[in-house]
Amino acid sequence: MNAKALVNTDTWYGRLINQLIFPVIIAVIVLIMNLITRGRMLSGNGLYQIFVSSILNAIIGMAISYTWSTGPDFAVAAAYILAANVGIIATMKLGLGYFGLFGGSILTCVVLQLISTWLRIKLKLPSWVLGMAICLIYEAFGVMYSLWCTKQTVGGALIQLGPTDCKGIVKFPADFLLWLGVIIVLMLIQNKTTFGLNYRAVSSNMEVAEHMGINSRKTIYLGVTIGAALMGIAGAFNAASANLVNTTSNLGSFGQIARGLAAWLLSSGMRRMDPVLSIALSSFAISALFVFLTYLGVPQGTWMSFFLGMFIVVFLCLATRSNKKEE
Amino acid sequence: MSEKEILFEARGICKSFGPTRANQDVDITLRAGEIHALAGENGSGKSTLISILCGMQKPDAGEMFVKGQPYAPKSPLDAYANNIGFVVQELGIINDLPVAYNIYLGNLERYKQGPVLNTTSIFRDAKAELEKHGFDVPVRELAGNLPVEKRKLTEITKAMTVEPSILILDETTQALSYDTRHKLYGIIEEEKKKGTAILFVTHDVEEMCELADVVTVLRDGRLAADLEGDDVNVDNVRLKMVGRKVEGSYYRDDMEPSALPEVAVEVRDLSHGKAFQGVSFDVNYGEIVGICGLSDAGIHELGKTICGILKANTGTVYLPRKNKFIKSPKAAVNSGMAYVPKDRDSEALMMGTTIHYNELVPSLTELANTVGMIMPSDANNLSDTAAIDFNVRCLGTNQAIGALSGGNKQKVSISRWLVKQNLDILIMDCPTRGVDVGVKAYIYSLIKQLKEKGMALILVADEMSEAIGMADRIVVLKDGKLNGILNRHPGLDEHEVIEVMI
Amino acid sequence: MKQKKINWSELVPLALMIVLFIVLALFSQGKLLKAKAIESILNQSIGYIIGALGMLFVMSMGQVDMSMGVNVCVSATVAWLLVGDYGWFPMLIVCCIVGALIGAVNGILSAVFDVDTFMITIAMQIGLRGLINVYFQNSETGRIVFAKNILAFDKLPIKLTILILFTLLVVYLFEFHPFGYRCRAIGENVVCAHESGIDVKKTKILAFMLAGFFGGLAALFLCCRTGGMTRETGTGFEMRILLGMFLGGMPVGGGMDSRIYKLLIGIPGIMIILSGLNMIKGVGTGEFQLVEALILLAILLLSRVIKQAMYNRDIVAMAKALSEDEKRNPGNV
Repeated sequence: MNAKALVNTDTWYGRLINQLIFPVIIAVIVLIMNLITRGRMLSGNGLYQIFVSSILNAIIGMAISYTWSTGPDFAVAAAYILAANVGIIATMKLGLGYFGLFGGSILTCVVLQLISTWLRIKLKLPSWVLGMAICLIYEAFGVMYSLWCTKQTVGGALIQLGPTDCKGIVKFPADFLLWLGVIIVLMLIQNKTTFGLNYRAVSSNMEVAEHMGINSRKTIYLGVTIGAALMGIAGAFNAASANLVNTTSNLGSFGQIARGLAAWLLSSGMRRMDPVLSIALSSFAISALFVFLTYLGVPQGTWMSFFLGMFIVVFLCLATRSNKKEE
Repeated sequence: MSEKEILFEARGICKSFGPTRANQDVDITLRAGEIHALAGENGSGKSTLISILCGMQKPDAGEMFVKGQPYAPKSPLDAYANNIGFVVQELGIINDLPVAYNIYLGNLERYKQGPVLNTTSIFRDAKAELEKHGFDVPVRELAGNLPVEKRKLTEITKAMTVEPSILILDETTQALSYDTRHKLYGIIEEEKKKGTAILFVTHDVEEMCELADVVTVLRDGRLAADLEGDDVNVDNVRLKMVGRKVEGSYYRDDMEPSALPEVAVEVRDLSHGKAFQGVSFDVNYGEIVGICGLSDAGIHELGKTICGILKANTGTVYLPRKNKFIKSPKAAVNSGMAYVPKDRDSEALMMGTTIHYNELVPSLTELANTVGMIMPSDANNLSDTAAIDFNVRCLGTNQAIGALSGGNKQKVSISRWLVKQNLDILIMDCPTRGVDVGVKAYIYSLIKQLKEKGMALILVADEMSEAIGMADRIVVLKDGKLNGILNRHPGLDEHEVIEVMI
Repeated sequence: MKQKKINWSELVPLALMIVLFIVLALFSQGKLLKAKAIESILNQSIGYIIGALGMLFVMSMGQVDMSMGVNVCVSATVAWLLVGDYGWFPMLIVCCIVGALIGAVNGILSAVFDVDTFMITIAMQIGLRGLINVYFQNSETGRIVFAKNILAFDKLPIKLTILILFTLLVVYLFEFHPFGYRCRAIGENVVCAHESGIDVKKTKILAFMLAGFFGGLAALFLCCRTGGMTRETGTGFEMRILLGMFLGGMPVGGGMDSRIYKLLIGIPGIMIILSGLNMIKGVGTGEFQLVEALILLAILLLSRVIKQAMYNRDIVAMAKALSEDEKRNPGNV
């Protein structure tokens, strides 16, 4: 039996092998890292650390995969920050607890992202430039809000969650269940619903999809809604673990979604794997990489953003290459 | 007139794209159990008419009826709902989805179980459906990983799932091998017996006349003829396609090959990926070499590889007079070679700008003076000369090129090369695609003039009659291999070429 | 053959700017019109014009260099570390070299791998800003203060001379030399450009190198005005440049309508608007950015609408001419 027959999708083991190729490759890489760091990576605690830090970026990566199917739209980065802050306000000022945090965040993100998508489709401008303009606008709201907070309180900080508010979700097993839930729901959507198949068709080739009778506009809006909801979940999750989410200006919000972006880019090189699983996996791989760098003595913070930038450069090149090969 | 039940009727269909009138007042009637062919040269409006019937485009005027009921499709879904199954000319398939999903996409309602789809039965049904027609296509494989023929079979199967009472096939046989083609004929015959109306388009007039009961001929977007019974024969169809007006002076009059003794291009053992392998031939100055083959035989890729646009995996293209090997379009242009692509709007022209800049781009290096500057007066001279010498019908060279008709755009696409001084090798890929009969005749006379001037010409042709009518020699490809080279001779006809092709 | 015709789409941004200028002059109660304000606006514009001269090549290809701002900071920091003791001239040279090197990396990545340049230069921005932060976090004061022999650069005659020299160079390269035409042809249709014998990869790399070079050149102009550098130096630089260029009427997707005069109008224009905004009471950084973004949206929208209208005008005129042809000579177009 040759290699091609092993990955043949007509057999159950072929399909299984397709899903396992990349996890095995990454497991091998982690094992090598483990050897270099003298076993610190693969202690139970080490693995859990990697996993926990990968949850947020996995969700962001999945959100990006839905919102960017028609081109890079950075509005989603600023929407993510605003949404998290609305969630925090709903929890602290309105006393709505988890419901306020997640509900507020998801609702805000969906509304903001639908506005941006609607404008993009209506105005027929290139997505990067329109996304940039909308991102600047959303950021401006954030900056105004943060200045307003400064005037209100003497300390001058943003409204933040208290040290005990909404902490359950960032502890085991709730965080694990959230991660698992998102993956299962998304896999169901992508593989088992009419929308999911239509969506995959539209993001692969919009013209042909329309010729098959798929309403591409409706599909795009629905996809963006799902992506924005995921971004809202990510915002709420981030708020719960960090207590506050700082606003940014001058497109600084890009940096906030950069690791998720890297995960999405890396995953698009894993063509044979299920797209949802591959984002989760690549997010894990990226977290492992950063934990590895920490163990090697690279200080947190500054150097990390240098490496992050370079990783994105490399993954971008890989993703573009694999897309080209496919054609 | 035949007595069979009328299943479909279209009256007075009109459709324009900017200044191009693709369909003008076209009528067509499809009857149960009848095989109806739609004939016409490239750009005569066949594909536009079909896309209107399938609900992909809205007509500007005209009305349609299915079984007597008014039919105004908003999307292909309405076509499906009226049991109209169709296979479009370009590949209508989503590469990133498995074959089975492609077959049922747009039509998934029946697999809904609550909010989710029963994907197991989608795969099972797709497999059964493919097997029913005797097609061997793996249902779980991503469609993009399959060869063109299997993708086309997927599309045919998709069209059959709507249980069509009207089946539309646009250039479907071109991508198929001999065996599969006969499977498709079988399906057509079977459907005919069931009382389905079949509308099909093919370039192959012989095939058309063998199959069709009725032939509708379009010319320049207008209805040229409705033929049935004994009127359906190759000569008659062809006559109606070209029109009496231009016949005779259309192609070349002489039937003997001629060329200057000097070799212009040496193609040796040339390959590009899966498209074609190990192709060798020469082109002389003063010679027209046609390249022919079925739709995925690799003829277009061969044209592009000769002028360096596609990278050759093996082999060389050598120009003896200049002692140069061609490895990039830049090298080709610098050594006096030019390429006129098939896809005018997205490859040949810069659609967002004016005629002026389009004429300029190939000549930038020549236009620069001793200090490397392009003076506006020189640039204007060049574009004006090109537009006037080649009869581009426009309001001025600073007019947007998008406002030109297809034929005039093609004149720009060719003339921007011919204004260059040192040009002596010209490769043209389907140069008369999507232009009206008048411009077509103009382009053929231009090609004849260039040959007389001693230019070496390569003509990639997907219409066999074009190659037969113009070329001194015809290079025939089959599945990416050189299958024979035919010399021009009196009595050369499509039969002879097809024999080498298949 | 050349038909004289006013292209309204070229004039609209200019008109819009004049209106904005008047509005802002009124809102700032005339402060904007004072001689000192105008001189300061001019002075401020020079650095941005220099940057825009480089961005012009990249933007005409329909690409964008989002790493230009961080390029300013990196090239100035590296130059200061290497030759900071020897005065402004050596620094200027080293800045340009470092800038061009960064540009070359952008260009090679985008040309060889054919990656979306917006994304790749954003990634470069994140990475290089990280590198800058490493340096400034480890330095004691968190800032670099220029010595007198560098600040000597901050004189209008020197700066204007450099500006005029390089503007002339870009006029030559972009408006007259085949290189400029090649960049614009790539912006119009990269496939057509490639098949017409333009070496797209080489042109792309050169254009990005030029963008980087001018980014480095702009570094001293920007830094001398603040007396040195911090980790924040250069943030928002490329945004202002893009804004100014769009304001001047530069097409978003590049192409033949990209012209140098558009940036020479647009950059001072955006500087006037931004300074005017700064003078209005109660405009914080948030409102400032909001107005910036809204202006950007408005300009993009307007120039799109007008371009479409111009195109339709040609279609209508052509259809009319064709039908007249047909009347004169039926059946033979």
